[in-house]
Amino acid sequence: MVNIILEIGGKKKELAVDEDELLVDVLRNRLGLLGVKKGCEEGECGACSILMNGKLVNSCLVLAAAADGASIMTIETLGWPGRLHPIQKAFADGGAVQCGYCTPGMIMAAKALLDEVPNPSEAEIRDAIAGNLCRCTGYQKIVSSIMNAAELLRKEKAGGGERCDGKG
Amino acid sequence: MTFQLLKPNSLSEVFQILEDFQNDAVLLAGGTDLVPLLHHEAVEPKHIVALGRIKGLDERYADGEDLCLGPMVTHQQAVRSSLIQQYGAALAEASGTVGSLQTRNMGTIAGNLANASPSADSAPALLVLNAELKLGSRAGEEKVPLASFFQGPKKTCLKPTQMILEIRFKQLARLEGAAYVKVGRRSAVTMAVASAAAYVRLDRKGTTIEELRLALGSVAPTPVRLYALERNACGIPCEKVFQVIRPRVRDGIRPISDIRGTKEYRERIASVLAERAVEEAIRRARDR
Repeated sequence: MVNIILEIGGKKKELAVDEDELLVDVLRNRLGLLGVKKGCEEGECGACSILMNGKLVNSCLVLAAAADGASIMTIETLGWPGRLHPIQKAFADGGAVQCGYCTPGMIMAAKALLDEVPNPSEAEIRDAIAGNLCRCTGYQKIVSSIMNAAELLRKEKAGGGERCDGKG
Repeated sequence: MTFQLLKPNSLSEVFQILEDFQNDAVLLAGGTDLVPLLHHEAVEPKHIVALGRIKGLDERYADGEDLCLGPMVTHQQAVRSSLIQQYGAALAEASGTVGSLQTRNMGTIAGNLANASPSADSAPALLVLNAELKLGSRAGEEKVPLASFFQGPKKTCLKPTQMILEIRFKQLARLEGAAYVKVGRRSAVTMAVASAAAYVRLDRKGTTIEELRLALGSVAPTPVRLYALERNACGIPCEKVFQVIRPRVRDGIRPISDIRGTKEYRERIASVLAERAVEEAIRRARDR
């Protein structure tokens, strides 16, 4: 076992992990962050996508012990019922969720995009979610929901809307 | 899988670890190739040497006429680097076709080379840029042209005690252009069924090929340069160069049939990709 520190949504967590443990398993099994989904375990499906040090990564491709000191954002730290992030709200309102398994990873990919590109084109959105597989929706409603989320976020930034992301 | 994870803070510690454990130690850069192999127990090293703690390994900078990349430069850093976009666009382009944003954010160019897959996207691009690798070990440093680095599928000339310290190539100048193209089984997040990179240097009028370099991926046991074809293309007017390329690509490759494509398809697509890469390289050389 090795002791590591992860910063989860701004809060430091000290924990002991096995050297061969994947970050996805640590997040799910040791920290109870079950919104981080496990799909392919080889970096193909994107269901386990999280932000690590602000960058979108597949948590199944990261050894937890090597991620010591990293700051992590998962769907749980983005927003929660009653305080949804605009991307979560747009996905729920836009019918972008069917079985829901890809949704957390998809939303984190959208967050990574919108952090950098506040007004993305459809092509940029499709490119940004290329690493996230969805077998239900056909992607159309996901793309349009990310468009809507971008607009919500721009309005929020301009001071129009009520702030509803996890940062308070 | 049981291994010991080592997290050295300096290169000299890495060199000492590699010296002590030799083939029992494996370097962990971005992990996009290694971690799934570990997880599925396809490799079972005793020691994993994580390079993430060592500062400064992701530097990219111009050194005189050259561009230098540290061993932890990720594909996405290459995609975003204005230096690489301007003076080595074929590499930024190749890195941009690697996996998804998730894997490009983690995966490194040096790792892509060291993994030595015949389909490694960065390899053909760096081959036509005449890239040189600096390898380091406790015994000292050594420079190796990328063209002699690959020795077979997943085999390189890297000794168990060595790591890649730097990737270096000459910045493209006026009348020079390079490009990378690939075809996969789908348009994104895909490994190359075949790929091609080309470099051209044109004469002052921009009408004749003074130098051509062509490299192909996924059509031989290693990424390959097509030296014989390149020699034949020297001094040929741009519009006639395709007649030189088309019949000669097949001589330089040894494709096989596998899960991603057949030998016959690869033979046909290789010359198409070679032409597209050269065409784009010529266009860029004229634009510079």
